[in-house]
Amino acid sequence: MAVQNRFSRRQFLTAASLAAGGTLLAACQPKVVEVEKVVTQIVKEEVIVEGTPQVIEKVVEVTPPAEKPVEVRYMYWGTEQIEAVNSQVEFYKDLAPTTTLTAQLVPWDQYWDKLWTALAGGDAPDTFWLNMSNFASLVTKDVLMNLQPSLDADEALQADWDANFDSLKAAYVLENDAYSWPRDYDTITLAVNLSLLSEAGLPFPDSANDFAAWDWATCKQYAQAMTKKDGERTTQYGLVTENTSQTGWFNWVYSNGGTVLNEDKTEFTMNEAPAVEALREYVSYRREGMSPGSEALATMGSSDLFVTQRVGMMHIGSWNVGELNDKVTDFEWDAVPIPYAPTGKSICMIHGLGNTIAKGTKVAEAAFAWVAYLGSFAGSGVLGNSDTVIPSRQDTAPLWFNPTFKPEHRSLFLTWTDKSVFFPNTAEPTTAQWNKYITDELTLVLEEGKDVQEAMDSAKASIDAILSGKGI
Amino acid sequence: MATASAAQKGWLARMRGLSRGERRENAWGWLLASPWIIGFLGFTLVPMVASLYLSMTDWDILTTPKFTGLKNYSYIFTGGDPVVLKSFGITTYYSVVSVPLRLALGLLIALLMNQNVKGIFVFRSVYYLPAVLSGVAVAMMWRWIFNSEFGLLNYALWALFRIQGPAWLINRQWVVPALIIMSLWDVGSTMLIYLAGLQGIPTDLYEAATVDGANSWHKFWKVTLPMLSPVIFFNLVNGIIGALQTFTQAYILTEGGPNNASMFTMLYMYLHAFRWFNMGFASAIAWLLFVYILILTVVVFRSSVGWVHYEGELRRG
Repeated sequence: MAVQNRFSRRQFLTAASLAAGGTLLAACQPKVVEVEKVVTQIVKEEVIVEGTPQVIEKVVEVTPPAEKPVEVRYMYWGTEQIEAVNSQVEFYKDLAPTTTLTAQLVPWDQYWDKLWTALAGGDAPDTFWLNMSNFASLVTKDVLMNLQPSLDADEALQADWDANFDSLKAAYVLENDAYSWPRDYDTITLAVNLSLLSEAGLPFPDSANDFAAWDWATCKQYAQAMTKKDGERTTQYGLVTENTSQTGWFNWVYSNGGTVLNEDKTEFTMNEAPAVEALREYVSYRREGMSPGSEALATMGSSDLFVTQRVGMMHIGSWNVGELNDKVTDFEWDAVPIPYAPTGKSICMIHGLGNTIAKGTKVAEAAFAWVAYLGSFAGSGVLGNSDTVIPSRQDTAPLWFNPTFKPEHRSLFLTWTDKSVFFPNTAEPTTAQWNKYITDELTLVLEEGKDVQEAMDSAKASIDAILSGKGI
Repeated sequence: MATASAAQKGWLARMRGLSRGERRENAWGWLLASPWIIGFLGFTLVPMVASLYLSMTDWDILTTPKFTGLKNYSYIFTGGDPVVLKSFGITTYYSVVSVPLRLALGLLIALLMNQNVKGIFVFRSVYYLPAVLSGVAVAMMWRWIFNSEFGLLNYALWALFRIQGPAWLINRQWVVPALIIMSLWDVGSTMLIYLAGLQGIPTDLYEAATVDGANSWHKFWKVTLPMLSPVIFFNLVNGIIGALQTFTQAYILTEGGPNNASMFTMLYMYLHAFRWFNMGFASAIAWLLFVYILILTVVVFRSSVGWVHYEGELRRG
């Protein structure tokens, strides 16, 4: 009978979680980390009986064995989160000294090429960020580690998993199995330059009843008032309306009762009346000269235009709030919701990222321990205190809403989680493949004055063909 | 037991007929050529054969390729994805305009750089310098030059001719012309090859032409151009192949937009391969592009019989 001792991460992670309080408090004072290392471990014995491996149910507490040094690679794309990720890595070093973490920043433009080709080539990073657009697609291709068996086997881990917001957990579960551990979530508001607002002689929008008076008409009135011209040339714009879904048209379409796809994701529905009406409203900011054009946006980007006070309002994702706070030095800004549509609704897109493990990793246990740490109160707390993204856990998310952090109405990013909708992603074909047709048609609408209805009908013909499997 | 084929037997017989020294020399030859042979097999021939097979599959790079026969090709030719053929049209349009422009401008600059004036080396370096800059950095610079509001190009058009320039990279009609203008930026490499060709033309030909009473235009038309025709031919073939493989400019500046107006074939192939992970379909596009380049190259080679003159060549008729 052969007996093989297997190093388990369970108690180790429990210890890490116990250390969470201390770590979290220490997060406010980086590098002064007092972590009580209660590193007791449990060994599961794998026994081979007549050639069939079985795991003995009982667990045995032992003194910690000398761990073999392992390297865990972690790939991510958020340039605005370098410090936060490095802090998580630093804290984890103290908890798992034999694990060398290599965090690799890959810019968004190259991220998916690199990830997919690395997965195909068998050299994927052990752990990496994943978004919802790619989740289902990668799960169906069987390249992500199934986290569910580990979660089922450990109450402490399950408790950590359960601490996440329900919608985020649901987003990273496919057929009852979890394949990515939620790390953060994003909601969308409008950022308003208070100095330009004041110059235009307008008050900050009435915040009563969740800004109920902040509707399409009011928003346009504000944008008009903040648009300035010098002869033919516009020197200041009211509101940026970009050809993008998350920080753009999606929010307006859904507020007006429109949708992108039907329920079972077999048909494109943005050519229906509510969506078309919303798009017309959205596009009108460009056509009426209240929004900068694509060229100005390609050259500077909405954030730079906002920081340099060339626009009064822009859509902003919660992940950009901290970065904007750092950049804005000579004026005040605040957040207002997506304007209420005639339907009486203000809806924004919600999205969230997950920490994921490549199925083919050679350091599965160490990779899982790292991902579990990131999902623990300690790891997630570091993120919450970093003023970058809103953590996915219900108990650490409030850290992001620290009242001393700007802007004043930061809480809108939380309030609107109840009024938010996920983008309807598809596994096969991938979202990126059909989403391109929306962007292409909206380019013609924004740049060449193509009629919205005509554009969306055209997009429908192409997208429905792809969704029905007639495409490549 | 397998029996040796006729070819193997012939090879063995030849090897037996060689002396020890010759065999050793042969072995050294293969050994020294082996880096290229291995590189050619590993990075060219095998990937090409693989991509030919993949072009007949549905493959997302993560799962096993599914053989689909000629479906990818028929999908392209029946207009299933009209952007593919559109991309060939755009690439051809770009090539037809940019290649002759580059050839002419390169020759013009080379003729200037071939003058015997003081400090000509400085001018030559200056004209060649753009060719050594990275494609991405150059593309970023041109984005600013093409900016309709603050860009240098529109500023110059207004200052010199009172013409309001277009939104170069946003307008569907102007985006390819903009990229053609940009392609002239690194004409220095073409110029350099012309310059080498110009300096290889024997001066006695010009002296003889002068004695015969030829003026500058005659000398250029009857001596320079014929003597330079192999170099023009070389630049033409390279130019066509390079233009048909245009990628970086469009990828950085326009991503194929607006509305696919600058969707070059290479860029569209890349999008299918690495954005949407339709590697099988992307391979089919790659093979169509390969065949297209091959046909054009063959046509140019065939046409060269009539207009390319090699030194010392004897022609009948």
